[in-house]
Amino acid sequence: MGDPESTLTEEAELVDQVELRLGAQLEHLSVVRAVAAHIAMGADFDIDAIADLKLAVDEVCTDLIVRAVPGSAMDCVFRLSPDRIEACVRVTSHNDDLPKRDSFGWTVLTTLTDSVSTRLESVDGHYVIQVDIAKNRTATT
Amino acid sequence: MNSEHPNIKIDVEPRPDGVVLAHVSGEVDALTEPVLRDCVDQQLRSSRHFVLDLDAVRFLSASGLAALLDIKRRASRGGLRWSLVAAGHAVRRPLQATGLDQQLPVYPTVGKALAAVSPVVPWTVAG
Repeated sequence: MGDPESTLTEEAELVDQVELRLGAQLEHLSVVRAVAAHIAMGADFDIDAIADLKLAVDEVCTDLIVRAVPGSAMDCVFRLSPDRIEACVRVTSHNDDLPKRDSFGWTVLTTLTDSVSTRLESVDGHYVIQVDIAKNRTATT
Repeated sequence: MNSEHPNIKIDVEPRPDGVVLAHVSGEVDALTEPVLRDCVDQQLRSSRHFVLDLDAVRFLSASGLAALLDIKRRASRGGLRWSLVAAGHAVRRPLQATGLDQQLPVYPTVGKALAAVSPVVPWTVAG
C-alpha cells in the first residue's frame, strides 16, 4: 500500500527496481515474462515461485493489453524487497472496465500470487488501469 | 499436418490405431493459444481420439490452461478420449498450482498418455 508519489525513499527504491515500457501488444508478452523470470531468479526465488510469478505477470499483461488503447504503451515496474517481488503494470484505456474478478484468469492470478489489487484513474478523458501483484519469497522449496 | 507460428509449433502424428498424437513445442500464451485450439478443433471435427504432448512446451499461460479446460468440455461432449503429457516443470507447475492436474487427464509420459486413450477393444470403423 505504498504511496507511489513518495519521493523520500525514491532513490533507495530505484536500486532494486526495474522499469519496462513497451507497446501494449501481445507480441511483447515473452519479453515481460523473461524479465520477470530473470528478476525472480536473481532474487533466488525457488523454481516454483519463479514459474508462478512468470505466469501471473503474463496474465496481468495479457488482460491489460486487450484493454489498452491501440498503439499505446504498457508500463511495468518490478520492485524487489528482501521478502517479495512486486509487479505493477499499467495501461491507458478508453474504458473504465477493470479486470473481471470472476474470470478464470483472475482466479489463476489470486492463486499464484500473495496479493492482487487494481486501480483506476481518470486522466484527460482516458482511463489508466493499473494492476499490482506481489509474490512472497517462500520459506522452503 | 503442421500448424506453425513463430512462438509455437505443433507436429501432428496420426497413429495406426487411429489416435492422433500432437507434439506441441514452444510457448502457449494469448498470442499462440489459438493455434493450439485450431489443432484440437481439427481432431474434434474428425472425431479422433488424441494426445497432446506438452513435453516441449516452455511456457503455459492462464489462457493456455483455459484452453485445456475448454478442450476437456468439448471432448467430453463429443464422446472423445484425450490425454495430455506434462513432464517438464514449465507445464507441470501451472497445472499443479491451479489444481487442474486433478481435473485434466495428465500423464507423465507419451506412452502412458497413449495407453489411456488407445482402444483396448477393437472398435468398429464408422462409415
